[in-house]
Amino acid sequence: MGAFQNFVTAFKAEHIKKKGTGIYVLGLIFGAIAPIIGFIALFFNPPLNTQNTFPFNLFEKFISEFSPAFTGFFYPLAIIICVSRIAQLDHRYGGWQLMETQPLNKFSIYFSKFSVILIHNLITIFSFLLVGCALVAIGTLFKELSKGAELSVPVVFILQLSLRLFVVGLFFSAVQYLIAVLVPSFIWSIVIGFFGLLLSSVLAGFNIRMEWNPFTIMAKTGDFTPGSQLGHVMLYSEWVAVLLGLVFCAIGFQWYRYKSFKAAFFKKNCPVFALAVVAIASVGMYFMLKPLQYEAYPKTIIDGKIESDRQFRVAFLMDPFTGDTLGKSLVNDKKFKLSMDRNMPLGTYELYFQGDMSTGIQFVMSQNDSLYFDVKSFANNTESTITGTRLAENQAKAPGEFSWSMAEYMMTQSNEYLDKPGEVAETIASEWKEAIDESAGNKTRDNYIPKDDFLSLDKKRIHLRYLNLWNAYMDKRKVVFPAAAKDKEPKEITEIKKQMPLKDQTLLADDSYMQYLIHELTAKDTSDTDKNTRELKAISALKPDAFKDRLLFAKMKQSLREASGSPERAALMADYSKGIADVKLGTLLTSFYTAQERIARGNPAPDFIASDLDGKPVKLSDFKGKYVAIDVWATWCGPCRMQSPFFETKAISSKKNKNIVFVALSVDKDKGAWFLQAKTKSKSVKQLHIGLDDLFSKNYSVESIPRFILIDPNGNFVNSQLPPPSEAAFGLLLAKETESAVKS
Amino acid sequence: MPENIIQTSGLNFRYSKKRPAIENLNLNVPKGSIYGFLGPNGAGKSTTMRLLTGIIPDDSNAISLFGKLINEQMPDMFSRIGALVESPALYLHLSGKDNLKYIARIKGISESRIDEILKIVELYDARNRKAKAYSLGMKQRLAIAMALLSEPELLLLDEPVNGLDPAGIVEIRMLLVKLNQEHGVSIFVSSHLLSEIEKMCTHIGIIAKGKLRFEGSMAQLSSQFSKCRVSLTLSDAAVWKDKLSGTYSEVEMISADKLSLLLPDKDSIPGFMQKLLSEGAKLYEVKIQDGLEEWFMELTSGKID
Repeated sequence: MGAFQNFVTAFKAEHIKKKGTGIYVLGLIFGAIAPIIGFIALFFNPPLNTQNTFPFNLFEKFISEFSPAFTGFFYPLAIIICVSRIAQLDHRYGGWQLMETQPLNKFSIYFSKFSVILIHNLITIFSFLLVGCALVAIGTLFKELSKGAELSVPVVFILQLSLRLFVVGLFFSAVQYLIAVLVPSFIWSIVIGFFGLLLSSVLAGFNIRMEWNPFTIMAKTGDFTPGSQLGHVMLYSEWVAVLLGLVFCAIGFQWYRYKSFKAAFFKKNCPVFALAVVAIASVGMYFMLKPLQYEAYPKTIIDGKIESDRQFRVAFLMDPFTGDTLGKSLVNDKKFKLSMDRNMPLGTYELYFQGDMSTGIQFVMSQNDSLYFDVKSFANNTESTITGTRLAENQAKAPGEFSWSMAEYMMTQSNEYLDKPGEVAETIASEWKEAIDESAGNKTRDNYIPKDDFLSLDKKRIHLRYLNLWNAYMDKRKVVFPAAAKDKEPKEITEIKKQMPLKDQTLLADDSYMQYLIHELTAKDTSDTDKNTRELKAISALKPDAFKDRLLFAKMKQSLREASGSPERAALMADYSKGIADVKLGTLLTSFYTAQERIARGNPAPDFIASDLDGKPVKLSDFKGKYVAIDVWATWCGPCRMQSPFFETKAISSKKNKNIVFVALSVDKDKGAWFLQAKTKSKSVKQLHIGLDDLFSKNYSVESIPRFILIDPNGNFVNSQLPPPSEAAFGLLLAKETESAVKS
Repeated sequence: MPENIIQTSGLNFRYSKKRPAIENLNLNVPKGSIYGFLGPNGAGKSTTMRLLTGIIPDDSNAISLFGKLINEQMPDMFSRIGALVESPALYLHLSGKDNLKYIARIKGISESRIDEILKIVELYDARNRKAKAYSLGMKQRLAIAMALLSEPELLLLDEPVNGLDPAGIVEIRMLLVKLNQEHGVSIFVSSHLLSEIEKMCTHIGIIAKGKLRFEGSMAQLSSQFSKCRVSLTLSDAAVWKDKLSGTYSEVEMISADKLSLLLPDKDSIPGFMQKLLSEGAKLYEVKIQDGLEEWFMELTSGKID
């Protein structure tokens, strides 16, 4: 009897044995639970994103929504239970010995049972996918479809996802099966399985990544249902699952065959086997897990396509810092391509289409990069996928976007740490280290990490964040304990400072670097003048170069913005603007100065015309006699949507005050989109739409939104750049200006 | 020299370093025999069984079945063997019939044979009940049926009558003898009770503390007992004690109507009884006291080496 025939016999016999155990039925049930729960939730909840107007496949979308629950819980659970049951069938009453006294190879015995598990896994997977599709199909009969929903059954998506789910399940099953076969007591394989499941989710909470962990691998597949961004059949983690699955099958079989660990791996020819397995596993793992990085490209190219409900004819590349247009391309047949010749330092750039700000996509690149943009823009919502040599960079956490920090809490929210500099320094150092580790470990789902230039930039940003925190803390401490000026700098902080160069050209555009440098420049100056003057003087004293220009420019902008009035601004310009040698930066500063002057306190706020929800024209001058608080926003702007509830709260709490009007002024191009959102908002805020009004933008120096402006009853500016309403300062300023008429 | 169906030469095995479980075991099981493998609990019977079936790997190539090393014929040899190791290995969630179907599928036996064997072990009526619901005897019979299903040339049975009632023991015994005589099946059967298998075995091997103490045919075993101790139940035992003490050795008084004494061999019992009766003894019972059983007890308890 051939080996294959022998296996087939064992496999068929295994199916007689599993009669009545309901193993396959259980798989069917476990597969269906996640979509059923999702389906029920669908009925009780409104569709998650009613605004979603991108074209999307309804089946794919919902399967993607159910899949984290499936791969994170139900699928591993089904495997744990199935494996335990399969092994227990033979652990009870000597089934293993019965099989071993039959004309069956040990290979057939071990793998016929394993095959039953794999079939169970397939049943679970198909139950999940098909029940999911069926429920979505049923759901469409009862629920109104959102715009853009497509209803073709995504065959390729389903097949590819099945394959990926199968291989990640293979790995976990091989591990569980090994345990269940070797440990006769049924409780252990279940306990170990559950423990692993729990531990992995706990560790994931602590941001501990274990790329070889079967649960992590399964969860990753569930989180990224569309799969590779680079068009690969499987993610690298899934290839790892294939390798480790085979390795664990080999180890498990060898162990089972020779009964004891020692006999299986140390006797006779077995050490050769053991070495081969270890070698294959470690070499394979090394190559599979080694992060990939893109090489520099000979040219600098931006390439892509845009799908939209509008027609765009030109794509622009802009430097968001200076507002300069760096390049443009005609959009032909929805495709565009920019080939850049100029020197482009690593930094953030912005791509937008035909003067429509809502299509703006900020991204990271430098020269010698080749990026591909897949842009979708519908009804003022723009989504883009960026691939190419900056794949990982454009998926990494946006610079400056940090999670909750204990150090920051110690620094800003509380005064009780002011006399514990040691403790604060320790916290800062440990968080800093964590952030550095995390930055290095950021991988895309295709195993790419950012290029070294970006990684080093990211590191510097992390250094800056924590050094600035420390400096701010020490400033605060010195106010309360003047003697602290003589404190010795803790060694943790010195350690971080050592890694932060004081003259880094690549960071010229970075505000936090400016902040850090200025602080370091004036650290030794103990003269009695105010901080601002000290800092300006210190910068002016630097020897002239591009570095000084950039620094002074940033500082001047800040000083001008914070200046108390026209005379102070004039004095600042007179005393320091000459220090900027660069003509372009000088011009930029002058125009910033003029703009600030124009919207300075006491200057008349230029009138504008907007329309209200009824379509009637409303002028700013209509509100004369009352204070006017304006929130400049747009439906496509995330930070605006975050701030607007705070603005509304302020408006509602100020209802009794007849002396102030709250206005939300939309700059949306698409009036329809504005109307839909605006009519759902609180009546306490007057909803107005002005659209893309160049005159308004210029008159009010609207460089970015959200923007909050306060105008007095005479129509003059009180404050043209209020802090965001989420901050307490917003309420305090408002209250102060309207003479405590507004409750804060 | 008859062909041996099972042969081990210098078989050793130890679970731990200190104490050997099997020591220099040389088994010679002739083809066509019913070989009783006797020994008290813990003597190494089950270990030997596991070694013979390859459940414990035979690293020293000391075991041959059908005249070939078992390591050379694993696992194909099992199509010629019916084995019952550590009974009863059954799938309790399946019916009796499905248990047999499972074996039939593995060994490639037609399903018609299943009903046949069910009838032989008298489980035909219970064939569709789950094995869970079987009595211990039924389970045992089912396990034996599974071993017999393929009409094997060699049966390896580990304590097959363990837990059966006396009637059940007799049935199994008769079945095995029938298989042996009518189909020429060689049977290797282990037990810790001599009385269970004594009556059916043609050959016997006795193991204690991992060592083989005796191996040979039943005839050889019996001839080892040249002398035979009998007990007599008769009136006036005290009187007869004095009378007999002269001619027979080791005459002992057990109770007022019971004596025991040593005869030269079994064959002298009828003559001895005739003589007693002719001398006017009121004899109620004569019983062989010191048979194989006693010797076995002594052997295995370590009194004899």
